[in-house]
Amino acid sequence: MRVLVVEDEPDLLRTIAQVLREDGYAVDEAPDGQEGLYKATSWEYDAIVLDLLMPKLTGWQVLEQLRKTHKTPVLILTARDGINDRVRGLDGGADDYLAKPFHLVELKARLRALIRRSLGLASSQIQVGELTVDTKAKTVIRGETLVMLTPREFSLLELLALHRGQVVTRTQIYEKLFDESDDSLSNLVDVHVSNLRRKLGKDFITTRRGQGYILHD
Amino acid sequence: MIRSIRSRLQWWYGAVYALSIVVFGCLVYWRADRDVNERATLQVVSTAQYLDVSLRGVRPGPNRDGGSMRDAGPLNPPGDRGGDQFPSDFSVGPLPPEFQFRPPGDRRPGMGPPPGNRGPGNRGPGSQMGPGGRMGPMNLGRPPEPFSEDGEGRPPIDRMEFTVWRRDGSVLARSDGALVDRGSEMTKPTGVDHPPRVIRGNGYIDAAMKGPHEATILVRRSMKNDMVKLHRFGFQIAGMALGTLLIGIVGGWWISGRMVQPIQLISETAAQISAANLDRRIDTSRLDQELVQLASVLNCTFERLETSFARLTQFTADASHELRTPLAVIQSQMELALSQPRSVESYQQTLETCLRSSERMRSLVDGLLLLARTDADHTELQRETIDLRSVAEKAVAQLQEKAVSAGIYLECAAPEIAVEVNADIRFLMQVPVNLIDNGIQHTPPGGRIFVEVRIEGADAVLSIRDSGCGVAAEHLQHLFERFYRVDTGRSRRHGGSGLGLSICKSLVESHGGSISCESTVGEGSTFLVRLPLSGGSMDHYPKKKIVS
Repeated sequence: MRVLVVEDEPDLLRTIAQVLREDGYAVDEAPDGQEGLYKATSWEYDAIVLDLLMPKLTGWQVLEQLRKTHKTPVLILTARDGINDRVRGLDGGADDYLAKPFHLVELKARLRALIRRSLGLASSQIQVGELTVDTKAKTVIRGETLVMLTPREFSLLELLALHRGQVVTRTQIYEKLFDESDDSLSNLVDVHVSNLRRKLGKDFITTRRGQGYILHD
Repeated sequence: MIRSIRSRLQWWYGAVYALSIVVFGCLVYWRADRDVNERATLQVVSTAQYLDVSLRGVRPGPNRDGGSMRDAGPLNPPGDRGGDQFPSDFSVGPLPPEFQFRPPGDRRPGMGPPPGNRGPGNRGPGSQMGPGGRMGPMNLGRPPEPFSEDGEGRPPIDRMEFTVWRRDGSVLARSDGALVDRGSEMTKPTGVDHPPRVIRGNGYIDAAMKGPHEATILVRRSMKNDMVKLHRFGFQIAGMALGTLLIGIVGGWWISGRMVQPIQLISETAAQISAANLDRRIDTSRLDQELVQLASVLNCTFERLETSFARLTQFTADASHELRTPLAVIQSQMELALSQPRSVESYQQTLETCLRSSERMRSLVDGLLLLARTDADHTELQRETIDLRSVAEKAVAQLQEKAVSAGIYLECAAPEIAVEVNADIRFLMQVPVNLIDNGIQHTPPGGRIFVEVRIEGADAVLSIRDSGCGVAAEHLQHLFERFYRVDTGRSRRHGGSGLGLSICKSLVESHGGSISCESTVGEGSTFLVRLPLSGGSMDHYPKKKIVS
């Protein structure tokens, strides 16, 4: 999962990015509206956290421009908590609204819900064969046993599980797993896939040579 | 409703109305009373004169024995031929019907001639002879029936009677019976003269005069029935007045209700206007001119209220926004730090971030507090005479380091003589500090900030000129508003609260001065602070302005 955080308060931007990274997200940061809009239209994000009062472009302006081309879920995170601001934000194309100060757990829960909704899922658990991927608890249960995965491995499995039955290209995986600050090489994807196979069994993930990976039901 | 306009209007109106009705009624009654009295006076006087003329027309004739005045007996005792000689059969011409005169034994009504068909001059023996032949020198019958007690209950007309006395006091002639009033027995008046003298008594009116041969004539007219009629008229007037008054008061109440209705409309609308719907206004299209003025004044007040309320709401929203952001940083940092065990460096970083945020909140709260204090009253200022030059130099020294690190050349110029102002150094110091700091934030490296203190007329002027980016004209008028930002996010990165300039304005104004800004985009801005020089009267400082 890759998210974009657009926030002009440097300390807050850093904090949010850090907490989301610790949760396994690939996080891109933008310190103002202009950069935020550029990034939001350049990459495919699973969700965007957007502040409203920012230099160069306000959150509303970013939202207006973004909605012309993209359906990316947007969560507005702002200190403006007036009812008019909320209505204006939601009507302007935002999918959720959270007022500062906020609890990080709530921000994370709302982001999960946003992503879940955008993927058309009813619950936070994805069932693939005998595997149960819990996107909330970040756990994977195979049959009765809990499988220990690193956050990155979990993110990879989650991505494949969400697109189960479909081929997911290496580029897609790379873009969803690694953020802009991550200078890992793309063959790191292969390392994570082989780690997953080792922990879950060889049959779950099939390699389509020249295309990518697929997770069968 | 005791102090309501409507009831007061009603009371005053009712009182004036009642008074005018009473005055009018009294006038009418008085007039009627006078008419009645005049008529009665005229009657008695003219009758007395008539009797006088009648007696004058009598020639002394042979004394006829046995002939006598019916009422008075023989005019002259037999044998007495001297003195006044009145024939025993003299008669008086027709008298008004008010005389109730009746020959004895004759009870027939309508004996007298119809009034008016014979003039008083048409008189003579026999002309008024009743059926009793020479019996009645005053051969007058009853008055015609219509004048007596009629079927409609009107009181009968008042009667008259007369008595003529001879010189010796004996009665020469007298009308039939004392009909006027049993109590008012006619006695010969004394001291009468030729022109009739009018005497008013209790319930009657007399005319007394001297007739021929020293005879005394007294004519009396009862006023009883006239008074009854007059009183009846009085009651009618009173009744009508009461009715008119009632109609007037009811009508007045109705009219005043209609007059007051628009006022009620205004107050109802005004009452409905609350914080939630300050945009409502009183509809002036249906009001009268006088009330339009009132309504316009009220609408104007609502306008100002709405504006200041909107400003207050904006201020609160801005203040809470500014406070929430560092709060959000602190909270999320803490949460993040506590979510799992971390390294010492990580905790240190968290604490540093929190410290920064709390510093920011403190400066914001300080600013808000300062604003609130300068807004509230100026009594807190501990004014003393201070040199504006030293204030400016201290501020420059304080910020020199920051300017240098930002690559900005900061210098100060001041005149040789002291520029003394009456101010509180604790507060006034903030003004140049804030303005220079603001200049540093908006001036690119390599720029310069020039602080100057000078005297212009009666003002001490502090000028702070920077070679920064300048402020566009559309922002200039809002520059001193609280939390106003030319660029919404810019000053936050510099740590500004958005309050600096508004604090300067508030502080300068609390010292009786003014602040202004001139700016050209791309060339820089000049902030001018004007303060009154000390030495002048302290009293001319403007009183506290309404907080905007």
